[in-house]
Amino acid sequence: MRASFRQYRATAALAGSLGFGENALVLFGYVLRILQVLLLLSLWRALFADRGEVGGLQLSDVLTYTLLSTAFAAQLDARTNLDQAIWEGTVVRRLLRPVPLFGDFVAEMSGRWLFGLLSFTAPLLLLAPLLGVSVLPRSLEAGAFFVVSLLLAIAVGTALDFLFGSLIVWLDQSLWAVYYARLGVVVVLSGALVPLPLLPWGIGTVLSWLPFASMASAPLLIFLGQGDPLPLLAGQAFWAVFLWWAAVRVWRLSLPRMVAYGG
Amino acid sequence: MALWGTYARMNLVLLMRSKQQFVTYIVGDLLARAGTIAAVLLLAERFEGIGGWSQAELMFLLGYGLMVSGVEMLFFSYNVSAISRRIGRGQLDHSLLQPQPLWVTFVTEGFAPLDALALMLPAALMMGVPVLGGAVALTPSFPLLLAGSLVASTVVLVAFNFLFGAVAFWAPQGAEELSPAATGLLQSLKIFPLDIAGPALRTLLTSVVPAGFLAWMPATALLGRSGPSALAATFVAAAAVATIATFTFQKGLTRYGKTGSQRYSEFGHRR
Repeated sequence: MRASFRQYRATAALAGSLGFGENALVLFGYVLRILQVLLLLSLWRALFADRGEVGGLQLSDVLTYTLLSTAFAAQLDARTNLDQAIWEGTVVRRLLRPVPLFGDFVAEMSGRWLFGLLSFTAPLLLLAPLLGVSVLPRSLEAGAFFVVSLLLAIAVGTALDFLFGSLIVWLDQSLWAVYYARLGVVVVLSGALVPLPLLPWGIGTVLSWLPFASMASAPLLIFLGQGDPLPLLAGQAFWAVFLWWAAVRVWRLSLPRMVAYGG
Repeated sequence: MALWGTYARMNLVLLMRSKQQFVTYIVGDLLARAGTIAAVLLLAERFEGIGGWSQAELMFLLGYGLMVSGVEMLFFSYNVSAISRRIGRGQLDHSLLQPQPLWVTFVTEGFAPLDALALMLPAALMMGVPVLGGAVALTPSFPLLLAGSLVASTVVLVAFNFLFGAVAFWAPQGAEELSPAATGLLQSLKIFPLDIAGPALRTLLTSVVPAGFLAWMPATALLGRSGPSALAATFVAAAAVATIATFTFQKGLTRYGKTGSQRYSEFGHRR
């Protein structure tokens, strides 16, 4: 099934408009994220006091890393609503839509991001100097590589999201056990919470080989100009291609099983 | 007690539906919290402590915070821990129809000992290791103070849930998910020793957003890092949040008695 860009854009616009019409709950999420980032910035300042470089990172690097990680949290852990749609059974209606399922979910996710980018990411980046944090890339080249890396991170994240969705079908279990376990683990394995080079005993080096590192650690380190960006981008590209290949195949196997359960 | 027994059996039946279900629930609950706990401990290892807290003290702090989550899950699991859903979806009527006071329903219906064990056992281990290692000075009153402060911290968490949950009496749809968002806010901020925060942020986190009472404030007292005033502050905070929550919830309930629910959804109804 093919779909035009216009169809995806319409889906994204609909999803985006929901954010503008939502309730005060969205503000609660922002309060949480702002308090979290303030605490994390305090944490790094306390930890790096009287220290120079740790794991190749200066204090200013870690502050930038943390702020960007918060600002682009949704993109660095890309999630569609597939898991919820499976749980509620509404995925059946999605299958009836005249657009491919994956594209439909990705377009909807992009639309939701629009609201967050305008109402949270942009203001936070603008306010960063007031928090004593620079959000300028190390160089123009690093900034350009960051954009490419962020797109690859989204590709890896959405592929993993579809694989998790398939897992729910196969496990035939409550969505929430899998959902919360994933939430708790991915934020650490991806380096979104703590930069991987700061982990002790070489754990960061091991984690950097996993696909989760391609979701957050790689783009953020590229932004900081840490190391050679090309191997990091190559790693991300590999995981994006491999995981999407796997996601499409696993989903094809999952679909008949899910329909057999009645959606 | 009889109701707790009944709900404990129901919890057992739910989890034992299959081996797969049991493992998924227990491992899922544990993994959901393991990530951030591990991150803080690994950072403490790399930097030889955080904000003047040693690794052992941090282990105790994190264990204490996890135990508070465990106690909350023990008595207020399922959608009692997200009371705004019950109210917002018009499902409070299910509880009001029962031939018992509403508070009895609230303190029994969410009883889930098996789920809670998945958190309480590792939490006990995390608190026990520093105690056995000598990081905590054991006194005869320590067990009593620990138990009392755990109750107080749990009261802060549960009262915060009901305080924000009461908003759903006025805005059933808009505030339906407010309770989990409010308690999630506290839960995610409790893992940090607030010594690292500046005075303004620390004040905020021990007043309007009382995350500091879920682990940091009582742990400083129990570890002997501060005087008994920190423990007293935890009890005062519990009493204050509980009073405000009770008052607000009662106001909402009175309104509910006049207007009833403006909507009804069977979505997510438990039991």
